[in-house]
Amino acid sequence: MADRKRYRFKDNLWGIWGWYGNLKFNLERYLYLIHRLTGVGLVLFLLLHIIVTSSRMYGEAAWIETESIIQNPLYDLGMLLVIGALIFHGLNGIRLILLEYGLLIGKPTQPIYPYKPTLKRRTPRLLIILMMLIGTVFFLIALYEFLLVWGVLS
Amino acid sequence: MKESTIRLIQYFTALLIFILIGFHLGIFTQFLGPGYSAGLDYLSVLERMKNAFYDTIYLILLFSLLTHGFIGIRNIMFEIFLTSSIRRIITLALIIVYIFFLLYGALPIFYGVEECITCV
Amino acid sequence: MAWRNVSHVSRVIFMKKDSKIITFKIKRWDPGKGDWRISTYTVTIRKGMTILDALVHIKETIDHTLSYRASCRMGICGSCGMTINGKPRLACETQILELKSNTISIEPLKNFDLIKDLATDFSLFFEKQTKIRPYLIRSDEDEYWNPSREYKQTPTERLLYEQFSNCITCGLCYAACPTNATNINYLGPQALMNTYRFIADSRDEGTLERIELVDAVDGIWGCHLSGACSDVCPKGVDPALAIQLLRGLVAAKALRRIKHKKATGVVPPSEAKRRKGIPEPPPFNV
Repeated sequence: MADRKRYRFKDNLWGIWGWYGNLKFNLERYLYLIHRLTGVGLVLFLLLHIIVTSSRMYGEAAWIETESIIQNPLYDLGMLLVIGALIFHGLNGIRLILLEYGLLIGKPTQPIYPYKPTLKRRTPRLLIILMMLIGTVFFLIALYEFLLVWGVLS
Repeated sequence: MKESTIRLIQYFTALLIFILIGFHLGIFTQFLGPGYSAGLDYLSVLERMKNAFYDTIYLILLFSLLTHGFIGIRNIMFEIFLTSSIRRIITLALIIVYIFFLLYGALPIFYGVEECITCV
Repeated sequence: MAWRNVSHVSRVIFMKKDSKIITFKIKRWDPGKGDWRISTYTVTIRKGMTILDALVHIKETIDHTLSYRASCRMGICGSCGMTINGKPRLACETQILELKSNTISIEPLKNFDLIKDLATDFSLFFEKQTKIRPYLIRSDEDEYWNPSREYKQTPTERLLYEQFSNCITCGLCYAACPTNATNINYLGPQALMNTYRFIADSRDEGTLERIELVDAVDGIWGCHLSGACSDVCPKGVDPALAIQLLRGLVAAKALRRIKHKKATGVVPPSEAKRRKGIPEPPPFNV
């Protein structure tokens, strides 16, 4: 075994920047990036959501007070972002589950030049398009609801 | 616990969340429920909290969301911190926060002041 | 005479059209100081030159101190992987004019230990490779060490792992992987792909042992299907596919849906008659 002290990994690792900084790869890598970012964001929102909704415990006065704090367009905009993140994370998660257990990812073939990785073949790419279409529909429904709240539509 | 078991929990809770969150958000739209503003009325909230069906759904949703989220956070942390002792500390800290939020989130489902000032 | 002049003119036109002056910015690791330095070289490039050709040219004519590792210069040995314009590539298979930029930045392969300049240390990479037992595991030990006959395998069975056996261990997937970017203990796309290559082999019986080996945070579950490994692979090995298929097996084992795999048996070598006029081979002398 090589001498571990010799390793200079710190100088040559891509680091956390490597998750996000290198923008020269394939589409799936960016989906991975957004999936991770939305995941962390949603956990933080979940904790906030638990704290906010727990004001129900202290009766109606507390509930109305919390409502008055959170019922402003800025919070609603944040809410819309959270719903967008949720829709992305959910649908991309379904895509990942379908691919990760080898259900729709395809079979090994003879590599013939020019090589085409399975992720760039038809089924996985169609899955991404399908995911985006369904996500857009869901997001439009949410947007419609918020436009009603803001009084833009009636 | 084996890592594959943890990941299977992660995937099953993901599927559960996908269905239940659809329901949870659905009742805040015009199409399936009272709508966003009306749904947040105290009366409307109280009505849902008295319903055992909603209580069960909220409880399952809370549990699976927290489980799914904290396993995810753990995975990200484990990719940054490699030493096993630090990993153990992270796991312990996450479990404590997890249990706290599980209890704190479950309390308003079971318990709360039931008086309603604006109720007719 | 006139003909030679025409030829000369055409050669000048050819040179003007197909040559280009390109600046190379090479990020070099200085092991003495333990720090980086950047050297800039200007090279006239002709059509058809690869990055490795340019590096050889720089070392021969401009700077003799430049270190890099290369061997076969045709994409077989997997020694010359480096980060070219921000993406891991094989230097010998990258055409300079195809990059379509006047400045080319070259760095050592990311996520590897450094030796000097562009040369990186693969010892941890190969340590992981040996950890997953990259050989056939069989119960018939006697037959394995003293083979009397050959293992049976149909072409269809061979197709299940043929793609994955083309790996040249160049380490590009390892450098592209976002999990390896922070976690040096992660087995990496290459080792996991190789695990599946042996599990998919019909002659192998070590499925359950290998699944035990990779079922860890730093094993199979470090993969998040970003697909960068398959994107950079120069041989079309597609590690992302192998890892997902292996993950299916690991999950199946967790759900107790997998049994011990029995390897295919042995068959006598097919009989072949020597044609007339072809002499007998000389006796073995080893």
